[in-house]
Amino acid sequence: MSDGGRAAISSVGWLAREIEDELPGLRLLVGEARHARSQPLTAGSPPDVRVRLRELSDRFRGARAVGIRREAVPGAYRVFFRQIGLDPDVVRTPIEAAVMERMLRGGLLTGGLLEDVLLIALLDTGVPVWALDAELVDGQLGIRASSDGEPLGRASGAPALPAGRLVVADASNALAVLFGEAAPGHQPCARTRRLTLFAVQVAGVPTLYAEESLWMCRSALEQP
Amino acid sequence: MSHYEQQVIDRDDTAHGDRDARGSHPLAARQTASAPRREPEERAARATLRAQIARLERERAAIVAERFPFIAAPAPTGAVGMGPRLLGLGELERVRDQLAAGVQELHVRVRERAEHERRAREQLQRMRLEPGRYKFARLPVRDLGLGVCGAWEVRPRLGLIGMLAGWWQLKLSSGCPLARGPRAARPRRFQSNWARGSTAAPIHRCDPRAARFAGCDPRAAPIHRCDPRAADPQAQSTRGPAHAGEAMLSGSHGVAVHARPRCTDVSIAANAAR
Repeated sequence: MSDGGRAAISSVGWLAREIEDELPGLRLLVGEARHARSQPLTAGSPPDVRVRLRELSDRFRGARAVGIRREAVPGAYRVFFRQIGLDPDVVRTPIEAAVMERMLRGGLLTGGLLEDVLLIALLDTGVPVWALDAELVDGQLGIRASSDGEPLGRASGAPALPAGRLVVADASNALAVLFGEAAPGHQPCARTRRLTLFAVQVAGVPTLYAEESLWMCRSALEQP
Repeated sequence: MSHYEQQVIDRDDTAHGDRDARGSHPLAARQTASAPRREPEERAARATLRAQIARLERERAAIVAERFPFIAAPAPTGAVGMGPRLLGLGELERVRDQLAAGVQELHVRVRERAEHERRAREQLQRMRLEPGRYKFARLPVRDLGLGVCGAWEVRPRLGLIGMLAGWWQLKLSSGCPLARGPRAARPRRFQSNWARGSTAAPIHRCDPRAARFAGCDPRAAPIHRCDPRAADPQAQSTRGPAHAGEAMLSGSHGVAVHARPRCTDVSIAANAAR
């Protein structure tokens, strides 16, 4: 697919003014995907996805796991974690967490179609992608700080957020803590056919990588 | 400041065709022009601190990656459970200072380690030149920064004859020991469990692909005991313990840490079967 075709699959989410000023280089890339495969998103992965996962598992060995923090894209996420008050040695960046899991488990274990697709995109590009049920997203996604006691998601009994937490939100609600799991009830389930994918690009990460990450997820899910 | 007071903008990016964010969500309409903007000087100071944090983090990562496993990363100092947030000037300064202290500590350890390795190299050179002066001296390659297993040792050539004749030589050991230790020191159960038909299996890393056949869950406990004979019921009952041992070594547990076929293990099982 040409670059022009890839660019068209994602849009840039909005940022709160203060975040835009304070964290230059932060971008939220948002894309949509239709789930066209026969198996549900939470079911086991088809052979092509499992083969890809196994290939990636062979690519990440101990030496790479140690040196990954020096690579440009994972290093950019480490720096960004520091800048938003997270210690990457405590709260691991997505790529480091995935590689650490691979080391501890002895391989990349399949966790269902969607989880595998997101993991493959992360390991291939270093850029994490999250998925939301598109039916439950209201308007365009963006990044802002939460207000005190604001619920995370629209589900009843949603956990309350403290003030100032960076969240990915739609027009009405916070849907995920930045670099955290999606709000309960907003994660895609087995029946979900339309997904909203988003990738967080930080300073030092080329846009091409972030777009590639989204494109990989989309193409893997839309493949019949 | 609540998110309702924040000013929300679109990113101006001509590479992307979608510019529908502005005005598409109520927050954009609710934004207030009176949102407090911090002083430009303070913002510049924060930007400088972030740049310093970035430089220090890269330096820290480079040291840890280059000197692994001899120098470990300093213990984490960040606040746990605080979550992602915009840091103020004071918090950024704290992060910068902690990182700077960590990098300084790493530099000290790197210097100490370099000095240690230099002394070890000199010692190795002396052992090489005059082995007779360093009888049975042992120098781990770890001290030289060349790996984690193996050791240089001054040994007599031809054993007792060399000791009596004063023929000494410097030898490098053969590398990492087996995970189960030397055979002489190995617990008896590792040698003969399968031969005796015991149900206790060696601890190993289980192949997740084979785990479902063996009835164990590698997600719950990646390193655990499981019975690979369960993977092949024929092997455990009809073909005898020798074949059961083979099943462990070669069959469903293809990626088990110790599951490389070893003739000795199989022969022990075969002897016991006879």
